[in-house]
Amino acid sequence: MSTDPPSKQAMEAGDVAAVLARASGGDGEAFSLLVNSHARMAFRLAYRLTGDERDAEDVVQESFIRAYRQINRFEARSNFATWLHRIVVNCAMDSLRARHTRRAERMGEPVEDIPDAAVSAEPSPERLAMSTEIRRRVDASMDTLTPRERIAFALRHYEGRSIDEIGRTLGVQQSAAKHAIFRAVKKIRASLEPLRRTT
Amino acid sequence: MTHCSDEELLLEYYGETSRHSAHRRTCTECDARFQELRATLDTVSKTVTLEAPERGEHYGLEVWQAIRHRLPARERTWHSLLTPQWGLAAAAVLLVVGFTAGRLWTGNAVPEPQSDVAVTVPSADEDARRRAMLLTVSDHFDRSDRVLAEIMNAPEPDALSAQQQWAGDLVAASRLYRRNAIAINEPAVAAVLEELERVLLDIVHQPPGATAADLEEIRRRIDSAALLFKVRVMSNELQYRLEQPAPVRPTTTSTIG
Repeated sequence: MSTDPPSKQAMEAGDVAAVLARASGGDGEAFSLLVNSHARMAFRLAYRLTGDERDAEDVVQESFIRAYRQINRFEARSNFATWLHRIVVNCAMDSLRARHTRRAERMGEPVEDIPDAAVSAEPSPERLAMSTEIRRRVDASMDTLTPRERIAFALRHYEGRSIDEIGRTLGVQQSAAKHAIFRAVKKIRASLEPLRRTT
Repeated sequence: MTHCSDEELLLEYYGETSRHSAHRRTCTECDARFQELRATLDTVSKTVTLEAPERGEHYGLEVWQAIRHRLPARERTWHSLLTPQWGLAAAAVLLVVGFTAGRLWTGNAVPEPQSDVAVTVPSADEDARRRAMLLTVSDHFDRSDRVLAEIMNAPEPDALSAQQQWAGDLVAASRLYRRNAIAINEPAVAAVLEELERVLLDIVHQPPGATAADLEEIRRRIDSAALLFKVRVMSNELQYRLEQPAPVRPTTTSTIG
């Protein structure tokens, strides 16, 4: 069952095209209805991509501002949610890049030279719950992914998007999307390897 | 014999086309690697769900309030004029133009005295009256919000009759405030009040012993007009305007925008 607010269902059943036409004509009221009906979806996606609540909030706001600026480019035959999905992904990518740069500056490392698995090789001695340790390691390894790897992996693993779709969303060749996912999985597996050896 | 690469096994895990699926099923070595990969990724799914923290029912409104003052001003295009409100405005303009043209066409050569006042600045009294009126309407929107929210979240149809008394009180007030809003040139406020009034009347006119279907129908009407959202936005908008030190000027276009 849908957990979206009732307004979302009403928007889907009603004439979304008319609301979009009004919004693209500069009608803020119409745009506010689109924000209201898609904000939760945008937040869920932004959170999955960034893994951080505050960053996700910023991504949602930035995405709607960007959507408003670009709404004249939206093609009426397309699906608004799909179009917004792409904008959220791009904004999340920008957010991750900024985070990546900040971290690299703090660590004094070049942006692209973050090591594949910056997690300690040995499991913590006080490990009581395996799942906690796994979570810690996966979280840590996710932080070592490049923005593109992280987004491609989240879209494939958590959002169930096809590689073809991911390529189109990120504006890259299918092979590039595929390799970004491979690299992400490789890093995550490497971070879990010590646990596998000890079990 | 060529074994599956890690990439091919990963593609298979994600259900993407892989040329080597048949080989993997018959090759013990490749199948063992696949099972290991699957176990790892399944574990990742189970332990790191990346489920977003739940957002409340007002989240859309919160986002809108956070961005609305950051949106770039845009010119309205011709097709945005095709709304009923703008249609009425256009008709009014045509009426004035027609009237003026008619006056000129009749050849009235006597010059009319010109008014010296080009821009009307609200007096202190006028501003105080407007503020008082908008404060009352803002409070009215808050009370209406509570009634509508009760109905939207009610588990049982009985809740509808429980809200009818409140809705009845609000209808009369809504009608009065709408007339006042028109009088002080607040068409956007009047428009929301009109929509609110219509739904409140629907609630009031529900027969006793409302069923689940009646409740659902009322909810559908509230929902299809995005009424709860509009009431909240307008209430916030009025509060925002009232907080400004400058005289509260009338808003002639929709303030939800």
